[in-house]
Amino acid sequence: MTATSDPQNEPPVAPDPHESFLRLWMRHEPELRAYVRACCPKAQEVDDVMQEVSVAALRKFSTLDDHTAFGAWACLIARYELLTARRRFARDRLVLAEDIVELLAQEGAEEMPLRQRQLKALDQCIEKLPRQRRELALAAYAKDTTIREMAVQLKRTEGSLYQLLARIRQELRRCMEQNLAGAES
Amino acid sequence: MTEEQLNLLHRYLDGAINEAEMESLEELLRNSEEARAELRSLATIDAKWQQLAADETVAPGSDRVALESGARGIPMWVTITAIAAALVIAAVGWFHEPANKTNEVERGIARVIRIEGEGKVGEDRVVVDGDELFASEELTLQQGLIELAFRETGVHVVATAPLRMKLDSNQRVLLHEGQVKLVVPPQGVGFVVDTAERKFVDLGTSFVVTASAKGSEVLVLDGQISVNEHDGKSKELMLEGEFARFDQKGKLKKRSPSHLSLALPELSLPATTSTDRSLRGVVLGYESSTAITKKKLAKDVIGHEMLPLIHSKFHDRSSLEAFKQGKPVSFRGIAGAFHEFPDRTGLAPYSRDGGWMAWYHGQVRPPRPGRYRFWGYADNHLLVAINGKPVFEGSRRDSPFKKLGIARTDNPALPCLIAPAGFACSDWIELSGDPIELDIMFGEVGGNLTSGLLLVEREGDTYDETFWGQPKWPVFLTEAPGEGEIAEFKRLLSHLEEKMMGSFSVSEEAVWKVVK
Repeated sequence: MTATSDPQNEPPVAPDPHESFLRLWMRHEPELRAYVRACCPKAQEVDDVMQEVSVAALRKFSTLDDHTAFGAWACLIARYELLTARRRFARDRLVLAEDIVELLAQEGAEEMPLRQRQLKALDQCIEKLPRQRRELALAAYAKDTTIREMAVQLKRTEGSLYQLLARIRQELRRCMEQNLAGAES
Repeated sequence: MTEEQLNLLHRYLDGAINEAEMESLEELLRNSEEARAELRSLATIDAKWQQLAADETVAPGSDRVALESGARGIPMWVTITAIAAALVIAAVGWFHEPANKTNEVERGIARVIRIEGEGKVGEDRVVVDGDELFASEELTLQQGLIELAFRETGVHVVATAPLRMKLDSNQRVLLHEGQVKLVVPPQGVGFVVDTAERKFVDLGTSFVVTASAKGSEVLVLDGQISVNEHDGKSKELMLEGEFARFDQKGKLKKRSPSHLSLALPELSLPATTSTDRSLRGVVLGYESSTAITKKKLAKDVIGHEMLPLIHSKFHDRSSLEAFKQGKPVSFRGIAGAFHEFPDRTGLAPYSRDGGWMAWYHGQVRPPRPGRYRFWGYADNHLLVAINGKPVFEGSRRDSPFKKLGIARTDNPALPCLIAPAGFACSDWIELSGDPIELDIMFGEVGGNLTSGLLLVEREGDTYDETFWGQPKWPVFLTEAPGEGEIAEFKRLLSHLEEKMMGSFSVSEEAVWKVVK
């Protein structure tokens, strides 16, 4: 094969907008998910909201000229979807008041760089967790797993499982803080 | 945070919170910035686990806990699947474009909320209230104004004559001539106003674009926009308060980076001169020596300190003992900037970081019996109480006054200072015309960038309207303004009308005179 026929040597072409979107979405999804999570009382609802955000963002993507602003832009879309979802969920379950969701979302949008740093720090913190704890948490957070089912299978009470998950969360919170403080000093 | 408060956050994230706990959690989150930040950090951990669990489901580890759960979904990939599905829909949509267009033609992309003056679409279709406007239609208006709402994006547009504007799509208008003010909700982010010289792209904001034969201008009222050249060679961000003008060749002629709050005029007349006709007040702050830590500042100590007084119908003054007081002041209205207020009222030197609060109290008589409501906004605190009962709260979003649960409607489409909330409005209040006990609180949480506006409306009275359709409600006053004050109000008014598209009026008939 000659050098000129090698696709890698072909002149650059304008990136496909859908491909650009997917790349940006995948890069920013972790912090967007974290942003959304604070405003949703149930983990499962996060998926619903994220789905709406991704579809809305894709539909409007052609209007976003500055791709470096994708994170902030997607945050705004997520904020609207959160409020819409809140009204939908409010019909049949406990949800936070709208003004609080607004506050959490508004302040959360300003914390996106912190979210990225926290997520990075978490990689190391989760790595340090004892294996059993890590596996228990992974099982608990898997979609379609309920704490009730887990409690039955592990022969524990639901309350004790919730306590254990809270302790793991708190432990990670401390580790995350220490890592960030260490990185900044 | 206490252990109990942390537990509330964990129970919320576990989805295990009950109704009573939810109430406590809401109370906590509403009042504690620290708790909200903590919740977001803990939620980040949950989001990480969700992501890992999803990845694990895609590529299961060899040594997972043995749990006989049914087939699990893939949370992380739900969104990717959604995107993939949307891509397919988008692709199919291209093939079926005529069908989509048909649907669009039936419903229109924008609706006319209000039109004043004679507007036309094309050569001969006269536009009336409630009309649907369609993609690719060109709207002309020789005089007056038109207010539109875009169906899908919720973008709210007020455009003034002489106007020639093409509605390209539900995401874009082409402005040949005229002035448009846009309020863009989050779902409308990315909305474009195109002029011959530049493309103005919204990034979550409110802004005004003017186009004429001489070129185009833009003023950002709130948030930020991206200003792009049509060839895509350059793009620039413009922030709240910035103004730019481009000549007909597209050359940037002027760009002013002023901060709207800083540029807002401040009434300079002394507020410390009082007579028998004055509503008296006091300005409170902390002594300079009082250490206000960053953490305390975040909690808005001064705002919280006022709550016992408000709860006691303004009788229990014990919480005020900790404060330093300035000279006695008289109420001259709340309008414009109050950056220098602590200096002008003798509170300074004081702890600037601790903020200040002006509290006015007295007996006043409404000008006539009837139903009244208050309009306004303050950065940071604004509260009005009648006969000891708070009836209006127009504070910034994080004020502890919100704890009082006063009914309030925000009107983001109406400009008011720099507030994204626009004007806040109280419920109607029925008054017989007998004297009432009036309390007004207005203040700053910390620093010296303070602004406010307090207006009053009487049901049934008519008011002139601004260019943008906002009634010019009178500034709330308790004594007639002197000549000097009227001149200063006029200066403030012209600034508001030119720079912020907001306004008010000054009317002696609307004065609530002091009885004692």
